[in-house]
Amino acid sequence: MTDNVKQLASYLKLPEQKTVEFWNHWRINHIRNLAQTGKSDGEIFTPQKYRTLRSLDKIKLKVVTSPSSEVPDTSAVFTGNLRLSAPVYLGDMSFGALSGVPNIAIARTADSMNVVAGTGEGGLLPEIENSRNITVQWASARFGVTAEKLRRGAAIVIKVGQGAKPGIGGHLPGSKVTPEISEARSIPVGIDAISPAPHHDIYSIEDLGRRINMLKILTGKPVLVKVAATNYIPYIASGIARMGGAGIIIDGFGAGTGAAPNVIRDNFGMPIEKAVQSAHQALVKEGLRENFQIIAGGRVSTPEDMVKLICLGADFVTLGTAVLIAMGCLMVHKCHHGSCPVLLTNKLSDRRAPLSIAFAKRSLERFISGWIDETKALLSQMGAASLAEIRGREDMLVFPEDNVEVDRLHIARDVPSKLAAVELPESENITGQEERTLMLSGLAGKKPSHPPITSMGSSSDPSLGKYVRATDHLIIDGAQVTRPSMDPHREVIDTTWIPVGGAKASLPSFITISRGTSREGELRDAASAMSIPILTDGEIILENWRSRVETIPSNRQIADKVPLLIEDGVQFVEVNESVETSDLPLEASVSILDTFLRQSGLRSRIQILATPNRMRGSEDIAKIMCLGANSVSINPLISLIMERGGKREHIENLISGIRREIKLISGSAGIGLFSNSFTGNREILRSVSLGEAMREVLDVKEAGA
Amino acid sequence: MKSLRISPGACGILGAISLDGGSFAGADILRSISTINYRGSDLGAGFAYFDRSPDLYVEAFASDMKVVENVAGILSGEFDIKSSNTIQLNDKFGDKLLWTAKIETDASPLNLEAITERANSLYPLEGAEHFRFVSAGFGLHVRKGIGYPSDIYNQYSDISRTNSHLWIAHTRQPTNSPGQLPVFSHPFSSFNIAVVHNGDISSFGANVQALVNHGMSDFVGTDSEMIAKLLAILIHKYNLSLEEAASVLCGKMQAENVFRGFALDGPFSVAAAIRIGNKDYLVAMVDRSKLRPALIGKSDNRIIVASERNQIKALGGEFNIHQLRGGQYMIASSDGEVYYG
Repeated sequence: MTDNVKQLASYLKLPEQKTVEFWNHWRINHIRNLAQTGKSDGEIFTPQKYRTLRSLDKIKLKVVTSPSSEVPDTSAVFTGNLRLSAPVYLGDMSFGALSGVPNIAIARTADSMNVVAGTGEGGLLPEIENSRNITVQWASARFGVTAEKLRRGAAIVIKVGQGAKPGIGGHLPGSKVTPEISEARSIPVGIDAISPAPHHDIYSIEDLGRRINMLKILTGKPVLVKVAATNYIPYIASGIARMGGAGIIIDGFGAGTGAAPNVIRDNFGMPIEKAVQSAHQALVKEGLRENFQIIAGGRVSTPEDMVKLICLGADFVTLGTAVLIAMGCLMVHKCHHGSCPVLLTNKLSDRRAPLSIAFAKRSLERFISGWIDETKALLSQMGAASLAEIRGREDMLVFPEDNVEVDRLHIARDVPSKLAAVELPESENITGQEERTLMLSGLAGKKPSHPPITSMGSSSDPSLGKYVRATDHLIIDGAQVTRPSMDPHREVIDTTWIPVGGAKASLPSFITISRGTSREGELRDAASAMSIPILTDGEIILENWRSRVETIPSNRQIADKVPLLIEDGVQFVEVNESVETSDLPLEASVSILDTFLRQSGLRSRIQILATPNRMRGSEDIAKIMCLGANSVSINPLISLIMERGGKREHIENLISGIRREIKLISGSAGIGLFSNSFTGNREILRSVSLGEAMREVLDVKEAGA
Repeated sequence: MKSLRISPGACGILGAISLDGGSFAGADILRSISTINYRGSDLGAGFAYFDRSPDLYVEAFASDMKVVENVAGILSGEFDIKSSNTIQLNDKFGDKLLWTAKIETDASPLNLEAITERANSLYPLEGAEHFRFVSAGFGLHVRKGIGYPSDIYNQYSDISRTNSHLWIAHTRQPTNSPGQLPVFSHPFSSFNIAVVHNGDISSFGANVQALVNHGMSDFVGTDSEMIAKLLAILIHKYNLSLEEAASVLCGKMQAENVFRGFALDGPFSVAAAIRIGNKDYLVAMVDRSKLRPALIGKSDNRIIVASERNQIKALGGEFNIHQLRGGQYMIASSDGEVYYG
């Protein structure tokens, strides 16, 4: 970086946001304002208009009529040995994911403003090795780890998982593995650096205990464990506390990332507010809360968010995306390409005008000052003298009476019987999801069949009001700590479906083909080449095997006909949402049918084939299977490809891509036998902001319950 | 400088069977399982053994005799109680008693399971009045509670007096259920079956559905209990051989329709003590990826299943020790047959 090169030292104009994004312009401008002035502008509560449907946005802080005039205390003690100016942990963003200058700015700001920063996976830059308020990460690939470097920081972080991709390891795209990164991580230049999904020496909570102990002996430092927020977070938190960890970093749904498969980011993990609450309560109940810290991250966008999370039981919050925004991030979702327009996550070989380190550091320092200033204003409004006194004080919050989005799902909410009155929502224009299908097929993008990768930002349901199906409100559990996730790059994950002995499909899926249509031949050939059964003329066919299929509409009377069909010798029932008399979402009718069959002892006599009239992609196959289906049609995706001029090869690419995504889903959940272990496995799902009536019919627990 | 002792693992399991009519003393079993206390915690341990009697026993945790008498009254039409006794227990989480009844019944094994499930549903798992059957079987006794194995050994006076040809034992590190209630400790039992388990089954929800499909309804809700019940269905309902049952659970047998959802996924190593007819068996199983350890120690007249080598050495004598491979199972019978699959 020479002085005569012009440096980037200001914010760029925000581009128009074409997709729904949690990090909307208000949130970005609010952060920019803090970072430019170092003070709160007085707008300390997010205006109603800019709140999303996430439950944290619906919780309110209790304010007092006469705010206190004393200056509130925002200080906090980190892992028992560092007194900091605020409970702020600058998120674990690695050198590699970020382009160096931001890493240095973050570490220096942590020292100068007396907060703490995590350095992420992949070793330390020489420029930050002597920072005081940093943590050093021990991640599954051990990139850049040496005993000497581990002793550098204030604490060690064992990274088990992250909110953007529970059950998936770190991913640095090859285009960003430049000579500098190669040096820091001890890996070859230009090759994707994909860290193993689990730590291969941590398959259980007790293994984790031994690693914590080893790192404590090796370095004498406190050890934190970073995990993604998943269903069993209370057991994981108490396990880490029992094993001598100094704290848990819980990373919630929608958290930032440099690169994560789209299908995982949008369908795994729990909102941080639910996770913090349940972990805090479990620790209190077991007498493990003293001297143990909960550090909460994942879409913490304002001091208001932080204060609410502290009231729910957090000690610290992590700021990642907010930190990047303070340094100029435009939220254009390009981190994984290495072509960041504001030079935060660009690849290092890219010798464009560099980001000014003075600008980055100054912005970040002012952002922290502004953050603290606004926190004080909030505490005064609440009549609280310090952050420490409101920790775990749920009574300082006002919870919404009803935090479910029932109307949006057009479901009468009082009793499940009213589900009869369901009006099926129109299929919306779902640009982002369509793009994913087209990319898998090879009609868009360069690498067909490869699960699309995304990065920063949070643009998916369940909290942004853009949905395709009720399944969008179901999240899948990622395997964390108590069992290892499985890595499809390195381990065998079986995705086959065996409808009857002797017939083996490559996926628990099928394609419906209408006889006599112009594309019939192409579809048959593609299905045959990819070992996917076809459903045609009331028969399901795979190679030499065929069996009769009875098609029934997706409605409330779904179970009525089934006993007769069974007497008749039918083994396959197709529930089809497109049949005219359908009046119930497919997920609901499949769940009702599955429950009926189980309760009447007939479940093993029938296999349920489910045909949706709209879907996002492979995640819907997995979720509808959890609700009871044995196999799910991919016709909506195929129709899209055909409409866009796709040919046989594109359909084959799509099937191959779905298979890869299913392996990612299965592996992230720690499941090796997809068909066996997903079918009927409601325990692996949790619901978020789903109407009560629908939740009851689907028989899925609420997140955090 | 402090030295590091690293051993991969989780809870600790032990299984021991004599192949020639000999026996193991309770004290030997305690010594063996206690060598791996560091794998467990003070949140649960237990033992199970078969005695040689042909008598049918049911055993239950209960808050007091009033509750026991109430349940016995309700079940009087289902079986005759020939004799019974109680052991008073106390641990840091409260007092309770273990009720053992020698019974006679015409009920089939799965009917007996249904009868005990029905009784279990009458009372909660904890509280002022609680009741829960913990075992049922010919000569089968389950002894479990909160604490390390030695705490359990000292709570139940009969373990130190017992010599049995077939034992299993466990030390627990809770991962998906609370560690304050003895009903969550291992072993778990279904008719003539007792199971100890080290792992965390990721197919849990699907496996439970398979149990519900087969008419079971009342669970304490852990994956280990589920393994005992899956075995019960395969053995008692479908009359599968132990080889076949183990193949289904290990995911080796192509899932026929009826056994869909039976395969266990995620990490596990299991030791099970099972009586079929007048033969007793020790079964060991491990997951496909071998995410949990399972060692087999063989001598001329004994087979040991263990999490770690030192457990086998603690029993004394010469053993040929090897590991189970991923997805492998081992079945040893009391009359000397040993089978791997």
